[in-house]
Amino acid sequence: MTVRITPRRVLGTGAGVLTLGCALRSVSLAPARRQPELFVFRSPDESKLVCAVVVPAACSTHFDVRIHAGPKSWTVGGVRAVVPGAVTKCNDGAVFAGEVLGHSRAAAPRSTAVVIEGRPDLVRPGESLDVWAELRVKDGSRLRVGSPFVAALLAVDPAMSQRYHAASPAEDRGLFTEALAGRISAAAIGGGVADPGLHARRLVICLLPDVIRYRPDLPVGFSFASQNGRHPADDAMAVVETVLTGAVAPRAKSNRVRLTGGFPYFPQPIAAA
Amino acid sequence: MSHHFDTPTALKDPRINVCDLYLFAGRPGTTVMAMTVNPDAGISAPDTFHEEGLYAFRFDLDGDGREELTFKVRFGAVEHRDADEHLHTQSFEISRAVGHAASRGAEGELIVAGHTGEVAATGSDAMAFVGLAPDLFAGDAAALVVFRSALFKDNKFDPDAFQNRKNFFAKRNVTAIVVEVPNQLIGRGLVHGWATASLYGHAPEIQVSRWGLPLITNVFMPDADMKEQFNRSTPSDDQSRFIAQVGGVAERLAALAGSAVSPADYAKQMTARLFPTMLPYQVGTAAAFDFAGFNGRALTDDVMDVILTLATNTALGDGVVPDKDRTRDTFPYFGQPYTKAEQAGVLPARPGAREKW
Repeated sequence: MTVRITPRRVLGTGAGVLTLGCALRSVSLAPARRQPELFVFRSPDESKLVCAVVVPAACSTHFDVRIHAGPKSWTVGGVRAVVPGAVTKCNDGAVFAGEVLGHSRAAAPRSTAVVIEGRPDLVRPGESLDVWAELRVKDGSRLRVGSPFVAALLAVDPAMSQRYHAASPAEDRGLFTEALAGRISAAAIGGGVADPGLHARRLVICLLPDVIRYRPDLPVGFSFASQNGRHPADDAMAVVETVLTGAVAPRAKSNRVRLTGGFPYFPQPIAAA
Repeated sequence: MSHHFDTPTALKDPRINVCDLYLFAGRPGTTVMAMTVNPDAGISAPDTFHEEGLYAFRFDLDGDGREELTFKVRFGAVEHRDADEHLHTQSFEISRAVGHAASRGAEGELIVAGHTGEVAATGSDAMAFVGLAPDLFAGDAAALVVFRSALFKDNKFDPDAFQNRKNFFAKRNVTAIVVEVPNQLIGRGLVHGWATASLYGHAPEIQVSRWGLPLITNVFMPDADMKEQFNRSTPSDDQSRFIAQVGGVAERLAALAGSAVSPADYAKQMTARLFPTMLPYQVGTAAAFDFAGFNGRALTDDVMDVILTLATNTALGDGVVPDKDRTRDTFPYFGQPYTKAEQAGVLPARPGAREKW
């Protein structure tokens, strides 16, 4: 699926915006560069919650992003990718929208990002936040972004992918359980599981609805041990491939962290003089 | 070496070295619990059980890290079978204990009795097999030694050690205690299990070996004294006594590997997954110990890759897998042990070990 996005001015609204990132990437390893990603992580000083939608193909971008975090949702309209992005202060934090450089080796060299920095108390300790995002582009098409797991499975099935992008998480189990289980089972054949079908049925229950969960009282990270939010430097695809196939994937180099020390944390291109 | 030869006590008497624990669904409505002892049985270890040994499958039913239910296994004197001095047989009894009796002593309600080398069954639908079995644990022990040395001596992360790809346990045998019981003898829902071996006879009962999750001692504990302490303790002690060590190793590995934004946070995630070190299992479901989670353990689960990956937060495996051809679909689920002919060329796991017990 191709998305054309055109920069617009920022329309930050609401009491804070949370965006969780995921790489839409198939188990057959379509490059992450082509897929939007969502991230949620804590600022380096741990005082703020940072969420970002990063969309590749930043040369021409025009989109509205809606982020859903539990019962709340926020909309950020349009980002100018051909000029440096702007930071806007809102009631509960800051919003950045604009062009950013690749945050890791796997990411596209230049992307468009919406980065929100909000209060960490947007979710209470002990509670979890289910977060997902949707991109509305100028031609009316819609892209949905959730966890790297589901994105990886959808990319090899255009028909299912189309239905997924038209649905909302509340519909996921009813619409995609069987199909995703089939995809997981296919991915696990020849891997490390004795019964790919059983493996798939066990996993799909955990993967749907397709959201990224975040609990503030637990360590943040999308790791082999657990997945709580997602930091741009997490090697999420290694986790996804290993868990889905049940086998250790050939060892790939881990992501190199290239975030900056201050908001919006994603490095930005230097403006021409 | 899930927990093969992991302590001085285990090296001294492998009959009380619990190597592995398995927990999985058997016939419809039943659960199978299996523990292996005597690493490298028949070569570096005997094929018999300690006559003063108390082998136990322990279950925490309420999440407090202590057992409320225990299946206890005891053995009689070793005798020669068919008047052949090379063939051994022992009688055994398996009892079920609940409440206070679950935690101490040999008391319990007898559920099945028999002799080693033969399947025993009772009218209560419990079945048991005790005897020589193929070692289904697969691991490149030599590579693990190199990896651990790089970490603990040189403070280096050396994943290339696992390019060796040789299963040290290939064609080796162990002795297995396999018990299949109706699910109602265990309970419903989520339980947490572990296996122990204790000495119980002339001296007061003393636990010498514990297994709840694979490779805890062999990956995370370089110190022999700490391994002994771990083996002699209970899961309820894990948080206070061992989490700092295990978490420290995970943090160190994540930092050296560059595999986590915050190695300290990763260590917390990992120890939350492993502690307390008991094997969780949803009774009545298909078992799987894999990257997606722990639900019992099937005989052919490649636990080494799972633990290496968790320890380092990298996709790390040793390139060897359990021998699926040495399992069967019916009780006792372990296949035939390797014969002497098949073991030609297999060197003792412990150089200089007694080959005749």
